[in-house]
Amino acid sequence: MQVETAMTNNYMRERVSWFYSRFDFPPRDVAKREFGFGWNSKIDQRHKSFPSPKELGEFLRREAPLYASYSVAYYQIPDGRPMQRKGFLGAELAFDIDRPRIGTHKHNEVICPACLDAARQDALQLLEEYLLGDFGFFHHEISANFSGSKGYHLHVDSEAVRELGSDGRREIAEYASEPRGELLVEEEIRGDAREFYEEKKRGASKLITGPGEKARGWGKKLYDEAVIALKASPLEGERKKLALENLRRGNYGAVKGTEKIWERAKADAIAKHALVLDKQVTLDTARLIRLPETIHGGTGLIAKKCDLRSFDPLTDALAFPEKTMVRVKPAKDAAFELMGKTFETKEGVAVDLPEPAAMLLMLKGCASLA
Amino acid sequence: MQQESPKYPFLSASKGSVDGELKEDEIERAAAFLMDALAGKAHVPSAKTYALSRLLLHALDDGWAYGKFADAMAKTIGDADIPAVAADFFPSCSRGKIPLSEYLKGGGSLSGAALDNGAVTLDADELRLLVRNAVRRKILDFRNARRDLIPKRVLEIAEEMRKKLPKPSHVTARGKNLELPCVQVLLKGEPEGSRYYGAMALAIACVRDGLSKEAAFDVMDEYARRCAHGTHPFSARETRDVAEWVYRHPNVRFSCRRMRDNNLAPPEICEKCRWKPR
Repeated sequence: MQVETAMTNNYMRERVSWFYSRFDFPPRDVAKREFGFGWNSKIDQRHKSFPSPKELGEFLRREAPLYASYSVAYYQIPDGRPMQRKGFLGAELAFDIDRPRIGTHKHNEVICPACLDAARQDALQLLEEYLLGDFGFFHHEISANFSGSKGYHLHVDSEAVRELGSDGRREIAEYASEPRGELLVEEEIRGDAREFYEEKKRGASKLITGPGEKARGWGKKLYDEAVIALKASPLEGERKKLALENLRRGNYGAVKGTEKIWERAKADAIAKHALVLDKQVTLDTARLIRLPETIHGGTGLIAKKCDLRSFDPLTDALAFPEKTMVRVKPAKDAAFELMGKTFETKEGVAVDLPEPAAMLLMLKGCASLA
Repeated sequence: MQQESPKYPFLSASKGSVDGELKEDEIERAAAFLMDALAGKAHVPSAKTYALSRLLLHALDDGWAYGKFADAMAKTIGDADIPAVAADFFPSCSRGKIPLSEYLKGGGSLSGAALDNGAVTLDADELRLLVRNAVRRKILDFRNARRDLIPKRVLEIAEEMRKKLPKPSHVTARGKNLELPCVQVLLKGEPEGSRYYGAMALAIACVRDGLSKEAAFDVMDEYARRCAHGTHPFSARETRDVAEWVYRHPNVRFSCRRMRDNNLAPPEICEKCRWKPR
């Protein structure tokens, strides 16, 4: 067993080194970044730096790390320790989506196409609705890459965000994750509130106010959902018209019995717009994150830069040639999709697999070299 | 006009207006002003008194004093001056609209913000709050200050002032998590790079020990005040935000492994622990 493990490890290291013999995608400003590498875990060694892309490439080929990460921050002395010595110059704004919003599905433990596609859609929503929409970043300031495993990373690199501290970054991450504060406010109708004369005449003592048609941000998201929910509600005729007119000016309490419609609208707005982000990645300026275009040591897939509209990691992020066949001995039964094909393996039954599939199983500890 | 005679010493036009050698009476005047401000009795000081007060504040390096001074100074801004101060802190502000990055750098919150296409729209009340918060943040920003350049006499006077400051509060909350050796080390404060993880561990200890959120805030405030003021100041607000998050997710567990991974629990500390490292 030990011999098998050693053989498998040697093989994987040799192939990772082969992959890096073609590596030519250094990040911007290599000399100002801190790097971290892992062979047994994601980061075994950090505080590394390289004067130029050439030295980085040589290191990757020579050491063949299973994981390569780099700092979202730029430093004067990237290998300085402790952190204060590095001389912080600014940092990209990074986002990590690896827990997609997905309902019940047949989850595959080896690699799950449904989860990957849901993560891609969430990343696309983050890009279009938030980064380009609400936050107003420019397209050329944003890059997206597959994480190499379960999700996607998005990076914003612009002068506007480089100096942002953790507080500001947290605000951005939380904004895309949840509507903080109350969207609808219930308050007493004050005696001099003439504009709510109608409500008072009806005997209403409380006022429910919220975002109207001119609202922005999360208010706009709720307002849009409220309009949809109201139009789809069983409310009819004049009552519906009155509710809609009042909704436009932010009065949610004009028509009795509409409370459930607003509750539904709020729930729909959250379900549709609140993304699940790993906020720590966004707010931590000292963070190391997967280096795009490097291998993920848990899958053998590339953390590939991508167009989120059309990317399929199961065919577009392969690091090894499909035509090379590798004989592996599975440690357990497995069935999974890769390269547009379905593979099934039985525990203990040696099988020839295309190298990307063989590497996936070996890196997941589900097989060894036969 | 603002550039010739800025009304408030924290405006950018005041920068560089203080020079010449330090006189004993000027330092003492600044010390008196600082003590007044710490007692909540601030008025608008001269540029020199303000600069020396900040120097004394930096020499004191006391979390409570930093916060109190910043609050007092922010309150000196009259409502009528808000637009002028806003223009100084948010140069791109136009008709109540501020670009997102300027808004966030000034300490703005996106909770309930009217955000659209990279700009936040504010009404008069929101602008007033934002401007006061931005002033507060600027006063607390010591990233370019070097403690080794503080004149000896300023350090001496700061030490005399320290005796008159309220005694630092100590964390009195107890519980089996808060009493862990690594958490006790955390409570002394963490350097930059470990402060956030430290805050997270501390907040988890609080929630696991059944502290109310308000009691946890006291613990977190004390932690923030003891953490080093590094490249980015570490505010009580940040630690409170962490506590807020943890109290919304009370099932988060305390993890020895995470403590070790984030260099918050060196092996010699774990050896003293009654828990076996997991």
